[in-house]
Amino acid sequence: MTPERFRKLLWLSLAVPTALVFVMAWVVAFEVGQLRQALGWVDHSDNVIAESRAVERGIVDAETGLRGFLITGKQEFLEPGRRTTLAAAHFSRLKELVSDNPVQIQRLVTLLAEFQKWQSYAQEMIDLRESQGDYTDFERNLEGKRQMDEIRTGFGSIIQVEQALRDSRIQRANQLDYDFKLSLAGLSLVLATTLVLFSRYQLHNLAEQYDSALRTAENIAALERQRKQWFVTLLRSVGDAVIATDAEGLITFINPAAETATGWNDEEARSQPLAKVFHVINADTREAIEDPVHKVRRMNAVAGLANHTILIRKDGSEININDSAAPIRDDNGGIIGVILVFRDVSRQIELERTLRTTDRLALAGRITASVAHEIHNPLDTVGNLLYLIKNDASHLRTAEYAELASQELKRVNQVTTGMLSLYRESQAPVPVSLTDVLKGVLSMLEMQIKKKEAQVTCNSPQDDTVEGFPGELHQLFTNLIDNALDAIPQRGQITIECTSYHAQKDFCVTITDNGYGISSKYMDRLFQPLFTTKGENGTGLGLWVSKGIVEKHGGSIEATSAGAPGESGATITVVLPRRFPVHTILDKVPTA
Amino acid sequence: MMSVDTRDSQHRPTVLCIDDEPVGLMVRAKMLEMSGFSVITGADGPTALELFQANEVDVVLLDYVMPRMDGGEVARALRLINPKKPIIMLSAYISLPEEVSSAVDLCLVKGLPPEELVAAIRSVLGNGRTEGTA
Repeated sequence: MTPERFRKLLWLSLAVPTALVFVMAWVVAFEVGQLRQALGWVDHSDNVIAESRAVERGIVDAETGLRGFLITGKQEFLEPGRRTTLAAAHFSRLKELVSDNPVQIQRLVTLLAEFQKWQSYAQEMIDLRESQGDYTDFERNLEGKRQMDEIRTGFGSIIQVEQALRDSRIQRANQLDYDFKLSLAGLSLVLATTLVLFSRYQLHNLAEQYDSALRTAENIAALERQRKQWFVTLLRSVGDAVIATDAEGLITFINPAAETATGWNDEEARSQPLAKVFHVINADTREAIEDPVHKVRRMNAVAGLANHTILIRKDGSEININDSAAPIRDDNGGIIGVILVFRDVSRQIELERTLRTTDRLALAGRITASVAHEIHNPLDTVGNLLYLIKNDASHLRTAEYAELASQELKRVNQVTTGMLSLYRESQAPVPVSLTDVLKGVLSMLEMQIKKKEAQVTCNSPQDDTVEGFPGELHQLFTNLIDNALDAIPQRGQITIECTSYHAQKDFCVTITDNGYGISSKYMDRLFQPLFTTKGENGTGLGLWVSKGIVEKHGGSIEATSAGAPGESGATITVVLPRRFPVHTILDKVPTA
Repeated sequence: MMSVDTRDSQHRPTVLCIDDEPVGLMVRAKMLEMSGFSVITGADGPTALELFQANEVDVVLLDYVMPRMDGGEVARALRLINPKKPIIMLSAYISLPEEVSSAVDLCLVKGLPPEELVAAIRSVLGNGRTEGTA
């Protein structure tokens, strides 16, 4: 269930009962108003009746007072009669009270007129009594009595009408009261039923929603567990060593490969600071390397750690590793941990060392063969000359033969000292003449050059001295020129240009051939180990070793090719700095 | 040695000697002539093929490293012309490729005593004659 739906449900649960209660309150208020109005009319009738009786009583009092005066002649009896003015006021009030009922008003007007007539009669009688007139006249008295009776009858009928009105009004009030109670009960019943049904519906709805939400949550949780299991299995199964830490650099996960590599098992490593378990130093300087967690946090990015890293295992033994570390981020991009991936490259380094040795041994073999060739030729001639001297009975040409033999021996000496000195090993870089190196290489490759009838031109400046390892530079140019010789056709051309540039700081040696060139599809893999296009005739080590040598000397190497079929050849460009870079001396001590 | 020297020139076996080193070739030719052979010299493979066809050659003494054609190629070309003529590869290299050594009757390394070279030539000549007469 979405939060919006839940809010809507909650709102409905409150709004519907509230609205129903409002409706009921309105109905109750309306009915109470009706009842109050009905009771008001009853009160009104009561007032009319009471007022009518009061007026009637006043009139009767006036008549009684008149009779008393007429009999006794005493003025005191007239006192109530004087109050008839009050009766007039009562009349007008009564008239106001019954203003809603025209019939009653008409009756009152008639009564008032009759009363006023009786008042004239009463004054006449008072006057007669005071003037000793005939106030006992029967007819006159009867007339007065008749007038009074009519007034009384009038009041009686007014009261009677009002009484009837009152009765009907009470009945109406009672009816309203009954209706009110009935509708209240009905409404309450409807309200209660509605509320119960509505609540039941809503609760049912809510329960269903809750159930579905619960099921969804359970599914998500199961999926999460599965996913977690999936990742954990994945990380545990990969061949690379993986260690994860929290934001503080405490280990939260270590896979079996990492256990093997570090010598720490999961139980021991968990919650330990990374630096304690992953103790790394620089392979060249043996100085401590910045903690990967700190490095990642500082750079706030994936960090390939320093090359030539040595991991010191728990038991103190060392392995070479390649590693990288990456931050684990939360939704806001904050670093909540670091994941470290590394692998033991000791075997790879050992293998590369072996491959380099292989290439050096191959070169050593070629040099040996070349030296053997250069020695055997003069040796053969000297042997033959000695044979001639020995067997020439005339001894006429002995001196000539001896001179020839001595020249041949000189040649042997030149070959051995010249060629072998180029291949001497040294522990530190020494000044090397590039021209000498190239000459030595060309002399060693003489057989192949001869066979191909190759046109090799070599141009170099007068001052061509660089600092380096002569044996390795010899190896470098042997590999490069050898490749060119393989690539060119019969009577092909190879041009070697050696120029200094960068204000004499660097040397640039280009070896250009007019051979079949390098296919663009091989360009990427050209300097990778064991990559060869020569089938069984190539080791796939030459360019890889050459690159290593150039980089060790602080230089760079690149290959370019016209690429189009029929276009002439390839160019290898080697840039070597005149001064050997100090920082790489420790890097790779000659291995062979 | 004396018996060699006293042989009639008509019976001196002819050696075709091929090498691109002029001094070494010249000295070797003198040594062989002194040892009782008639010697024809050439500096490279094509010359060797020409001389082989133009002359009555009994044995070929080939260098391996030469411009244009190496000794192995020359030997195979000679075999096509005459498969029975003995060929000796005389090389400065200690080990030669299998296809080269199998193309010739004998492989020798330069620098061996001249007497041994002469003996080797005589031995292949003897074999050749035996084969030829068989």
